Amino acid sequence: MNSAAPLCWHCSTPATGRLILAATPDGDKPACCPGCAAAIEGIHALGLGDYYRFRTEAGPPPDRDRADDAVLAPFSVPELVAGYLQPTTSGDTRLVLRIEGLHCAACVWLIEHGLKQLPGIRDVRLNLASARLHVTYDPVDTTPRDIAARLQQMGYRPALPSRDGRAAVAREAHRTLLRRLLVAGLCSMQAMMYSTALYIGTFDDVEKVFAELFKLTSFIVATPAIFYSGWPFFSGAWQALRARTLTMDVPVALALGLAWSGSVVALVSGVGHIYFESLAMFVFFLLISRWLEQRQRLRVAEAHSQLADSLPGLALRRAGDGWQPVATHLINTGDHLQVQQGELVPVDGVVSAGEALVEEAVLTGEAVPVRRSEGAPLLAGTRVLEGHLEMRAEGPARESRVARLGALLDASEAEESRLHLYARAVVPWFIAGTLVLASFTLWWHRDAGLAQGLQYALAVLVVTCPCALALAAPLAVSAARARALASGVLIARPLQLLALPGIDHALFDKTGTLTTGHFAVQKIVPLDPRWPEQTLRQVAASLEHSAVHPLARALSALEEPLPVMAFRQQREGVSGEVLGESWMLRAAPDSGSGEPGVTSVALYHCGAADAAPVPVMRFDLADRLRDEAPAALSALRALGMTPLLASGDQAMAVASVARTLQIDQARAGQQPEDKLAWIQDLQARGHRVLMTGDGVNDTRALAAADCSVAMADSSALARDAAGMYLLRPDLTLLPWLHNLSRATRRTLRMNIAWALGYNALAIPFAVVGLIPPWLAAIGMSASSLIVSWNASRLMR
Amino acid sequence: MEIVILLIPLALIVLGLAIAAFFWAVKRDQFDDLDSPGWRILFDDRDRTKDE
Repeated sequence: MNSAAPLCWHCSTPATGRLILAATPDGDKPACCPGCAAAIEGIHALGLGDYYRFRTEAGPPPDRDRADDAVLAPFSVPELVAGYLQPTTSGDTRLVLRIEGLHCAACVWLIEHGLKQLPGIRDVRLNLASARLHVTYDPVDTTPRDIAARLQQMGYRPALPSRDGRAAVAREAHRTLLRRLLVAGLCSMQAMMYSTALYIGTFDDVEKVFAELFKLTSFIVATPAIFYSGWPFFSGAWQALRARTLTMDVPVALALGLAWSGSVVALVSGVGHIYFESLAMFVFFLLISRWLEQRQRLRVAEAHSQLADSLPGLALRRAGDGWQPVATHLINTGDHLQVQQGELVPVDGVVSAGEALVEEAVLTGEAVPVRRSEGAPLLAGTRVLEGHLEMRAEGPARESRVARLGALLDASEAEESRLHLYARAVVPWFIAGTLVLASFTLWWHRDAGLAQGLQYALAVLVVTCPCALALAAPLAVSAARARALASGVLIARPLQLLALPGIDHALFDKTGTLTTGHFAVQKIVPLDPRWPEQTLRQVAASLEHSAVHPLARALSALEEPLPVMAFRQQREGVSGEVLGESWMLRAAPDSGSGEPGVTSVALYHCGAADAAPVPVMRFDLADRLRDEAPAALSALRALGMTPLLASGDQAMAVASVARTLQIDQARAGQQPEDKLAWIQDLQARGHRVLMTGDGVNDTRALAAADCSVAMADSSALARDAAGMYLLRPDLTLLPWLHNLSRATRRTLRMNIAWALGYNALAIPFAVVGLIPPWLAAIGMSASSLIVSWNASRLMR
Repeated sequence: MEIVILLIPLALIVLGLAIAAFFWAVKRDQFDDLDSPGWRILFDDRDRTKDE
């Protein structure tokens, strides 16, 4: 392979094999595949070549496996699209789509401009974070299918969003909080304005009536901030008390309620201080911290909902004598369905007729397709590569194996609340102490009169509010998760991230983890000098061009294909006529090169009908080591981890990889139980193990390890079992995660130390009455803000 | 000084309008995406000429 292969202009994949050129106004650009070439030419044809100037990351490689029609099919079925259409007041229609393949802000530009060139498009809005596209258009001029087709032309994959309520609920909660935050902000500023006038004593004696007016106005503007914006604290406190526990909402609600009532009494009686502005400000600062935390969480939730969106939206169901398109979520147990070549299986079920090659890589990580015939099980999310099938559904789509991916999110939420629990185990005691201290303060100042004593007690309540303590851990962790997500790692179990620095052994799977999991041509050996090499390569590429096999893609990329006659694909290989001669491509005659991990196939020339085929050229293919694997492993070694290798593969292939990567301990022929046993053995000897894998055979090991990482393109089960999931195939993310983990732990410690230290320092002053309530409110809020700010540094 | 008797209700009305305007904006999805609009202004709409 030529290591200096030009990078595809569109997706930056090295354009190995035959080079395809895409014509642009700036000259021809290299492309790695016809799909990318079409995208480059399509984008330039729309006059949107600026995209290549704006973008900061490579574009999405078009989906080479899925037929164009399969992507567009759902958009042609009115009943299916109807659920995503909304009429607007001006007679236009609004369509909501999900876009796959978004990667940087230039996509927003490209998609918005590309769509606006269609007739009848009124408005296009794309949300990069949630990958949702809102298009407003005139239904007379254009159709959802036109819109989808245009998106596909630009190299993106349009889809109908799944009806996952979770993200919608999170968004609504975010909006409510935003409203409360703004009311608190505006009202506290207003209240502050009137109170400042009172504080600086403009109204001494002379204009008593105006002072009363200002106090009244302060009451009017601050009260909505306290009760509307501060409502979550009151309801939270009520819930906590009903559950017979103490949360930080309790002292907050108590302080708000007491101070507000006291101020109302002072307002009516004309004696004593009013604290409306301090309270409004208190609520405002508390809500800022909450809002920051919730915003991060929303991002994680949206990333999850994108992951869950991987099922086809449309299937063909038997209706009488024919087949009718039906939305996937309407499929019932026992329905007869048809799955055509290139399509995804919509639900779990059993083959009822036909036979086909099915790729189950999504679920099992196994790239070699399996043949499924009548009576064989079919899993939702797998792809029919060749042939077509009829199947009987065994359950609705939401109960399929792949839908269980959603369980990942639930598990991670449970985990996160455990993290809160850790804070909650401390916080009730802390709060009980606070309440005792406040009562003590009231008693201590009993000679100063009730009003004065209440004021001091109030200061104690506010100054000791453990908000910073309660926020310290969750904020740091959710900031780390958001940072990881932006860099391409989904952290399902945050506690595993925190455990990373303690890891001393890193166990790796081989195929698909340390290697790419895809075959690539390593060596070409001509066996018959009578044929020109170029011709033979071309013949092999042509034969494999129409074949469906993991090896086929590597070979078909060698040369431009020629027309093939009498093409046949059998279990042992492919055959056909090219350039007027008859050829065959199948396993090499001897065992090939005999090198470990190398699969050899040969091209045979079939002369006379009765003569034996003659091998003319041998191709050695191998699963390539990931380019970044050596660097990633030496980085892990530098961080104090011993890399280990456990593979189900043969000894020779495993030893070869271990040698290249300088891994001392490598075990071959490992069953899932063996990997698990190895991990448990290490753990029993006091070691902590990081497991990195991708296949179903790694699932048990992933679940047992102290930390576990599933590679990008892992099987769904491996993804479920792992604590962290790489969204892009890059092993250097592992040392990166280690560093992130250390930074997170440092931030966490700093936050907790700060929160405790601040409280310890401020309490004595508050008890003896040296801190007025407004200063206490500022101090407490500042403490929370510092903790939030410190955590947000992790996101940079 | 008596002018505050007029000014304070006016200020309250303006405050009410501001809150109403904000609630309307939240309802119209204007705060759902705080990232993309920041990028959008960086892309110019004119066609590029070759000499750049």
